[in-house]
Formats: sequence, structure tokens, C-alpha cells
Amino acid sequence: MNEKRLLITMGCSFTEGVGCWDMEITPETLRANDRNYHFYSNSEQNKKRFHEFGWPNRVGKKLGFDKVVNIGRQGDGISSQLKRFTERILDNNQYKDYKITIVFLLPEPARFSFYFDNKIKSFGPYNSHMGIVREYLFNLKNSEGDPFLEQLFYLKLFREMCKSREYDYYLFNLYTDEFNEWIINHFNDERYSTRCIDFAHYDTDHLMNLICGHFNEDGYELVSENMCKFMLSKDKNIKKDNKNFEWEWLGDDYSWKEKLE
Amino acid sequence: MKKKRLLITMGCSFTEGVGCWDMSITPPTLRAGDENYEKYLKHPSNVKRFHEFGWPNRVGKKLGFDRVINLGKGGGSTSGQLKKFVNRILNKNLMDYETYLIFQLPEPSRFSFYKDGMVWDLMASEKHPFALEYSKNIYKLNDFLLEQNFYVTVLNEMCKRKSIKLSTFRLSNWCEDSDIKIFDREYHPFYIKRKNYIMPKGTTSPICNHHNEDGYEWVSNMVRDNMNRRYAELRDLKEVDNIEWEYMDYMYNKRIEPRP
Repeated sequence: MNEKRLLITMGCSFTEGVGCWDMEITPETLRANDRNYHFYSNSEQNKKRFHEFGWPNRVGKKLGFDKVVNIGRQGDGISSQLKRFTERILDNNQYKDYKITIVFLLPEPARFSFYFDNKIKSFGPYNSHMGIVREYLFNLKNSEGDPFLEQLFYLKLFREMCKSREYDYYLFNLYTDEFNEWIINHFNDERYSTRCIDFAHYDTDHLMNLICGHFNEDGYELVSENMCKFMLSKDKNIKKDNKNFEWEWLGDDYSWKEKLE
Repeated sequence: MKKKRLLITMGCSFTEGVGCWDMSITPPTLRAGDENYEKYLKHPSNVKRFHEFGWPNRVGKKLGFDRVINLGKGGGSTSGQLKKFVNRILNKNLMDYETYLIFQLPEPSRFSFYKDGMVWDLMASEKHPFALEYSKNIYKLNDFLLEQNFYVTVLNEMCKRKSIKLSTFRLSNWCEDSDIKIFDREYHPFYIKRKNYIMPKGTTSPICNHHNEDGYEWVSNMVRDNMNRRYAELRDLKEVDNIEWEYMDYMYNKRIEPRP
């Protein structure tokens, strides 16, 4: 009997699929710092489109996975994603019969997280108006090295968890090799790639959208193609024929209270 | 061939052994907060004594282990200790040992970051501006416990992979106020409730309010009894007088060079 295959995808807004706007309800002139940006980005129609047309489902379909579970969420850093992963995936009996592959598109490294009110709260330079973020950034004397060390620590935790559970994994980064050289040297993992998109080789204008600066659907298609190429280069049997495909976005807040009650 | 037994210990100052003062160099009237307290706290004679006479080596000897590695650090946080574990233990070849890890869980509101290439532990109650901002945002016990639970869950995964037997315990009652019973897990075999944690008189150092050597002896008996209950293979081992031991500090973290 063929084992069912589950693709778990992890990351920030680029994994949640932000950028795949539903232009029937979204004004073309909308921009990220507009007052009504959050109204549109949180609208159910846009959210649904983000989750459906980002790279996760594209990779899942191209490689013939039976199911995609996307826990990517905008604003998340690597630590918040790992927390979501332990909450949602690690001991979830629903997935115990699947062979699991994880693709993690790494977020920007200076983000951090804590639990707040039983939920994961992410912080990062994007909310530098907050005192806690200002203090964090102020204390980074070695401002390039320290977030990378933090990222390296969580990367190692992630790898250990995957190996402990025998999950297959692939790690991607939007940074270029040059920028990312240090982490590549210290992490030293053949499943780590910066090649999901090489900005130097594409005219990225038509791959990004002006509303939020994320990829548009063409961009996410290219990202998914490059990811599949890399994954196939590491495991030529990863691609299967499969016509039944289901998907789920689980990047929302997990209720510890509910679970324990 | 029978494998040697290794005990790794993690925790805060109570695991580093703070409280076992060398009274031949330390004034008996010294108190935490005194101007010269830090000088004595860091005095090599005191540091050596802390590391030698705390509970880790005592448990190692009582259970007949061959070797003890202590990662515990005064002020250490759960995540900071995990960083230390990743830096110092993860890549070690432990194949020659049957390894047990005992983690004395630090006060859960502590947190850590890398700063200038080193692990930086902070307490929510500190007066450092970062700690003050942290405690403005994060202040509920459940949240601290969820944070700690995350790191212990991950540590447990790493231990399973390396065939390390993990146990944890607390020296206080941080969990009892919480309505989240997330800590009743396989690796929390001896969480000590406050009511069961009544130290005999004279077991606390007046200098720093940590245990003194009698106190650590009491803790080591409690840990030994719980380890014996949990692991049948440890029950028949004979106590040893001497043990090979090592204290590993944070200094191993190499400062990384900025990107060229």
C-alpha cells in the first residue's frame, strides 16, 4: 500500500501567501502603509486567496503530495514557527499515518517571539515602535552576527526535531549566498538552499506586487518551481503522480486553553 | 561491553552550586547585594567549590555514575541552557556512554538572546531596560510556562534522538498557580511541590539564600530517590567516593566575526 504523503510548510508572510491579492475586492492603489491596508489584508476573501495560491500548494501539487498543511504566518520569525510546529504538528495524531516532508522558507533572522496570553506573539523590526523591539535592537552590538546566531540555534533545534521524528526536510532562504555565507558555513546542511529565487537573475518587477512588496502569483509560481528543482536534485523520487490533493492553513492561533479543557 | 554512565546536569545557580562558599576566604558577614559580593562570587576558590560540592556531583556519586558534566549557570534561563546544550553537547559523541540528563528547570520568566556573540540570560525581574520592556509585555505565569514547555519539548526530542534519558525537576512551586497542566509529561517525573519541599533547618546559606552544602546533600538525596524510582537499572549501583567531573561554562561560545 502506498503511504500517504503530507507536506508541511513553514515560514512568514512569504509562506502564508501574502501578495496573492483578490483584485476583485482590493483597490489597485492600496499600499502597505495605508490606513485601510489591514482591513483588506485580513479580509476573508484575500486570506483565502493568499493561502490557496502561495508557493505551498503549488509545491504540493507539482510533487504530488496528498495533503499540504501550511503553518506559515505573516510576521513570524523562526522561533515562532518552531513553537507553532510543536503545537500543531509534533504530537498531532491526525498526521501519524502520513510520511511527512517539511519545507521551511526561513523568515528574516532578527524576529523573536514569546507566549502572550497563551498564544505565540512575534516581534521584529517591523514593529520597532514597541519598546521591547527597540531594546532588542539597541542591545544587538554585533547586529549582523547575533540574529544569525539566534537563527542558527533554532535551525539546529528544527533539524534535530525532524531527525528525531524521521521527517524529511528542506530549508530555503530568500537571502543570497553571499549575504548568507556565515550561516551556510556554520549550519552545513545539504538540505539548506538560498536558491528559491535568485533576485540577480530575474526581472523581479513583474514577480512582486506593488501593494505589499511580496511576490504576486507569478512570483510564487517561480519560487515553487525553483523549490521543486532543488528538492528533486536531492531526492529524485520525491515526485509522485497524485490527482487527489487537499490543503489546510493552520497558521492561526492555537488555543491551549481549549485543548486542556 | 557494559557502557560507562554519564550524568549531564542543567539548571540555574542551584545547579551551578552557588551557596557552597569557601569560608576560608569568604567573610561570614557577606550578603548578596553587598558591594564586594560579586568579587567573592567570582573568586576562583568559591567557583571551584560551587562546582565541586553542589548536587550534580553528589547525585553522580550516589548513583555510581562514571562522569558528571554540569552545564548549570547562575542566572541561567531555560532557553539559555538549551543554547548551551546545543553548543556543548549536541555534537559530542556519547556512544561510549549510557547518558542521563537531569534539568533543574530555572524560574520560567527568564529568557535569553545572543548578544555580541555570547548567550545573554535575563530575568524578567531585572532592572535592565530590556527586562523591563519584556515584563511590560509578558507577565502571566501561563505564558512563562508555555515558553518553558516549548524548550523542554524540543530538548526531549533531541534527547530521544541521542538516546539520552531526560528528567526534569523544579525546586519551587511555579506550576501550582497555573491552570494549565502542561507539565505532567513523561520527562517531568519529580516536580516537587512547595509542600513537599521543606528543607531541614540550617540548609540555606545566609550569604546568598541558596542551599549550603547540607542543603545540596538534601537535594541530591531527593534526586537520587526519584531517579531510582524512575530507572530500575540505577537501583543496584554502588555509591562511589570519587567521580570524574567537568563544569562547562558559556565561554565556549565563540564570538563570531561580522560579515565581511
